[in-house]
Amino acid sequence: MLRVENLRMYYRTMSGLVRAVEDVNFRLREGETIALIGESGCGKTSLARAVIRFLPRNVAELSGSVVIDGIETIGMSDKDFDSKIRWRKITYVSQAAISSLNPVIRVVDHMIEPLVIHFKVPKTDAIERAKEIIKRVGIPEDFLWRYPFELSGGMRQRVVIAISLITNPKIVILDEPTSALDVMTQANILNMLKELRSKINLSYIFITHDIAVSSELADKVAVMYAGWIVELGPAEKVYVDPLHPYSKGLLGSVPRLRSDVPVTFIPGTPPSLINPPKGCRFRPRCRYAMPKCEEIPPVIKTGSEEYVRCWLYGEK
Amino acid sequence: MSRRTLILLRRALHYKSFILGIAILLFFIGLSIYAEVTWPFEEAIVLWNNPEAWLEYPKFAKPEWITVFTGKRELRGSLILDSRVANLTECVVEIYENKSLTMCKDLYKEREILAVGNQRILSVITEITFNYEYDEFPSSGKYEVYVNTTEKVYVDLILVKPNGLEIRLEGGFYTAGTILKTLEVKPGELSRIQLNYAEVVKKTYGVDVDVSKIEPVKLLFIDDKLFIEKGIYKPLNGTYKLVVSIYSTDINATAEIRVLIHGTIYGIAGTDRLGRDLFMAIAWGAPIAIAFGLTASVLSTLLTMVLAAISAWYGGVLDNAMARINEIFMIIPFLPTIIMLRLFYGLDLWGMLWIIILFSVWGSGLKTMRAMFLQIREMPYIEAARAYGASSARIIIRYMVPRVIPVLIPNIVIAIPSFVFLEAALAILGVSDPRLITWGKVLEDAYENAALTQGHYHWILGPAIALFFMAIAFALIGFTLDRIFNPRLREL
Amino acid sequence: MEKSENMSRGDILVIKDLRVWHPVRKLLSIVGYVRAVDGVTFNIPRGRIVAIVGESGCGKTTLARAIMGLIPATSGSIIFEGRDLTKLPRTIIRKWYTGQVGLVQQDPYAAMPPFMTVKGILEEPMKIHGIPKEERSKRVREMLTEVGLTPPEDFVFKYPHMLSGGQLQRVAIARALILRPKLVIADEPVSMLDASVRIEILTMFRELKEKYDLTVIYITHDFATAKHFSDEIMVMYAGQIVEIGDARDIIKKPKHPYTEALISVLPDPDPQNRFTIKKTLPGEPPSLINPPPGCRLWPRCPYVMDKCKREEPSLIEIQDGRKVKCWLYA
Repeated sequence: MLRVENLRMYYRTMSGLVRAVEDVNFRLREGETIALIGESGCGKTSLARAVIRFLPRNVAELSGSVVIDGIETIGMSDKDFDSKIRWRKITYVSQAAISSLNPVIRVVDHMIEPLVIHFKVPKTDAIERAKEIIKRVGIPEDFLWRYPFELSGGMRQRVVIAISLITNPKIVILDEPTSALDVMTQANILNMLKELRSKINLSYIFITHDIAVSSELADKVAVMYAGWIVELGPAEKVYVDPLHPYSKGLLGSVPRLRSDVPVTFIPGTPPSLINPPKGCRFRPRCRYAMPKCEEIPPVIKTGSEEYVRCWLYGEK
Repeated sequence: MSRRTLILLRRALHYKSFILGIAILLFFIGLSIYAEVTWPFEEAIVLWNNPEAWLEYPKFAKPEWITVFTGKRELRGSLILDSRVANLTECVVEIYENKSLTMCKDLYKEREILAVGNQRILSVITEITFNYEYDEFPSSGKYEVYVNTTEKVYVDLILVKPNGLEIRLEGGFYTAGTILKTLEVKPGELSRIQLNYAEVVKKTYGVDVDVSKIEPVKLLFIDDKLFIEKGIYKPLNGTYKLVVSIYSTDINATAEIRVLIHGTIYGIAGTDRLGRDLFMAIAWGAPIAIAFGLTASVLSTLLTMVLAAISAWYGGVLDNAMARINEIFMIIPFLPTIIMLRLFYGLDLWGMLWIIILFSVWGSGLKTMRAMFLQIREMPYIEAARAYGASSARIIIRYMVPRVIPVLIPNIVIAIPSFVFLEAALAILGVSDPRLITWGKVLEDAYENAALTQGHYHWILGPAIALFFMAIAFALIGFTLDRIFNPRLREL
Repeated sequence: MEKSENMSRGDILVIKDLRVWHPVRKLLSIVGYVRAVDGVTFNIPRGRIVAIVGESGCGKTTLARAIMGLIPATSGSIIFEGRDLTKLPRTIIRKWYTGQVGLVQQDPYAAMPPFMTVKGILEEPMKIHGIPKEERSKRVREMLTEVGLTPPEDFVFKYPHMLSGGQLQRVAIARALILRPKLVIADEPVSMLDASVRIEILTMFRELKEKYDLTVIYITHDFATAKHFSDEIMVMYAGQIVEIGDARDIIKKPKHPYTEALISVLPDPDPQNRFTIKKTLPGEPPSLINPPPGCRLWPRCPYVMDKCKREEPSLIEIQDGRKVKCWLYA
């Protein structure tokens, strides 16, 4: 469904080149969910934006390969991308989407907009489709005729997800879809996303900084640190027995409700992406750092589609 | 704070607009210093408001640099033909029999005592020669007769043109005192010069000429042949001679004549209807405009800020009361009020300044700023300050005000020219300081005297250009400061 | 054992039937009240960390602001060290109480005046409370070291925008502690920070609490950190406290249906999560202008009885230290 290989995205700022995403590889199958987890500023959102081509204007480099449903999109013109990939194959629910709903435009008009504008679907057909989709995200049909300001936060989040589904994409990128919501609403949205996935065989790229929440959807987990995926593996492995020291630290910092494992933290702060440390980017904070870590660690395959970027697993 | 200011300043200097603005402003400041040094404040005001002081200057003279474009030779300032010996060291004085002869470069004076019957009569004949090599007629002229004796003095004033034509300017008796006569003539009347000219032309060329349409001063310098034969008005170039003859029965009498021939160009900015040097007005207008604009802008903005902060912070009844007062001020028409106050109380510039400030404090600016403060009031750091016991006054001064300063400073700078313009606009409406020299007052004077329809463009142009550049300077500085203080704009 | 020690040291703060109602105005008349805090009674034992947990809009921040003395109580009493704040004149609150209580807020960026240096920020409370200059600079260095911003020289002249969120929250904690308060109210102090920084800050906070003998009210929506970093948890729903109990106990065996539902939907990182659909409460929290009669949870409660719709249950102690506001236990 989606194959990302050696993806690299740098952008330029006043203070220098930001190595936001570097040498990222992953695959996503139909109906599968990959969670991108990591601290803020680790490149999760940049990665998603590189895939969906919502690029900042100051991009300095975008290279590698992103194959969406068999089509290579790197090197594609923006126009082709818009007409062949965006909306049709993949949609993006950004963190800010919920606040980007215009409070004085009816829900239905928000929903049919992509259909009418990008697919030139007649308005009546589009409304039929909107009725179908809004029920699927758990909102009664008559809510279509309301205005966003009349809806609660959870409802609005559902509307935003409904908009992303209206064009029947295969992949939906969800960027922190629940972090602004309350616990109960969050659980409701996650339930809905689970049901949607099983019903229409959607693939999600689920971006979150909340590791516990990520486990609600993730089949695969990609742990990101300073622009790298430092560990990629199935949920069963990463949540239970992570390999990379950073993944270990990250999971260790999640306070558990159902067990009394003491919480720990990773000392230090993430590096600047303008001047990342030499070699392994996690080295300055790593408990297991060794002289070898001054060299860039290799991608070590630990399974068919799993890998870890750490010298600890390099000497076998 | 000072380190921060320095950093901001350094960043500002990256902007060409800022440098340009500062350059223009520095020019105005330089001009102000020049004005103060050349004509100290009190002196300047006395000088400007005293028409007597400007008698020697041509009226409505254009700026000198205009000749660069027209290519014409014009008389700069005034020709002063003085029957006194201007500089004795350059003259030779001889006593010959009972005559005294003084010979200077352009002046020849013969002083003689004649015996007529049993009376002795003083006769002084002075000849002043001068060159007139210009393409334009003089703008006007006048002469001054000074007599120091109580006895009658006969004064005869004749101009000998280069072609030998002699025109009598004056011939009559004077007694003690100074008498000023202008060469101008009231419409519908004919002066002695005109009559004399017609007579002389008739005698010399045998033709009648109509002199009623030509000003006397032009007749003195006109190319007679061209005029008589073709009716063309052109000045006659060459060496002129003014012959002043004085006869008196008082042999100790002194009688002096000073003839002023006014030119058509003067100085950098020209002169106005009284012959006042407009450059002086422009130079003195600069510090007054800066002082006025800056004071009005700074004080009104600061007062607005204080009121807005108090209104937003205390809220409730106080806020409501302020809102009502604000509404009252917003509907009081500013212009009629200030004109009325000026009529009743005869305000000077600084009195007007206070009224302008009083009115500028209120209005939509106050509302906007209050809204800003309302927003700031809700910031968590204000709550934090309250949590550790900061008093209301402290919160306003130390926590809320610094937050609006970055918005305020550019606004203050940008608002300065609007106050300068306001002063000018009020001046044109007749509301101005009675003594001070402002650009607005010059414009008003020009407007009152229909400068544009009379072709005295320079009268309006000078102060207008000054106003324009001052506005540009503050706008450039203000907008740059805005960019630096509020960097979000830079992204757009 | 620990309990008896607490008993002997007494309660630092006692809240009795506190109500904070915000008037809803239309034109000039008051048409109703938002009952942000409505009949809250509890006590905070000296030297403990008490978490107040609830969803957004449940009134926990209003409660914190009322305890801080930032907004007036509509009725009830807030008794700090034996003195009732609601009866104290404003100047006494400002001169005395604000030095006794520290506040740590949620958004560290917004909580700092952007135009002051770290030194200025930390000195402000001391200037207000009249602490002499030498003492001030001594304490600034000391506090910066305590919160892990070392060496202090590197930080004193920095402006807030030059620091990271974690560093700023440390400055905020330093500011809250610089007057040596007895009670600190931390309102969502780590919810804007990353997981690891969150734990780091909370760990540091707990150490400082021991060192300075503080009592802490930790206001959060996050049960997981409340469990790990507090001694006691109070659960708030729609302006009322519905359950009070020992932190670990309450998570292990929630009694109130609301607490139970909340905890049941909160995930731990577990690969099995993705196969289960969580049971959630239907509906949304009630409007605080017109709360339902009786128990405020009844429209959403799976165990609703007739009584719940009519009468409001009271907060009753069902076992040692555990109080529940629910008819199921009455």
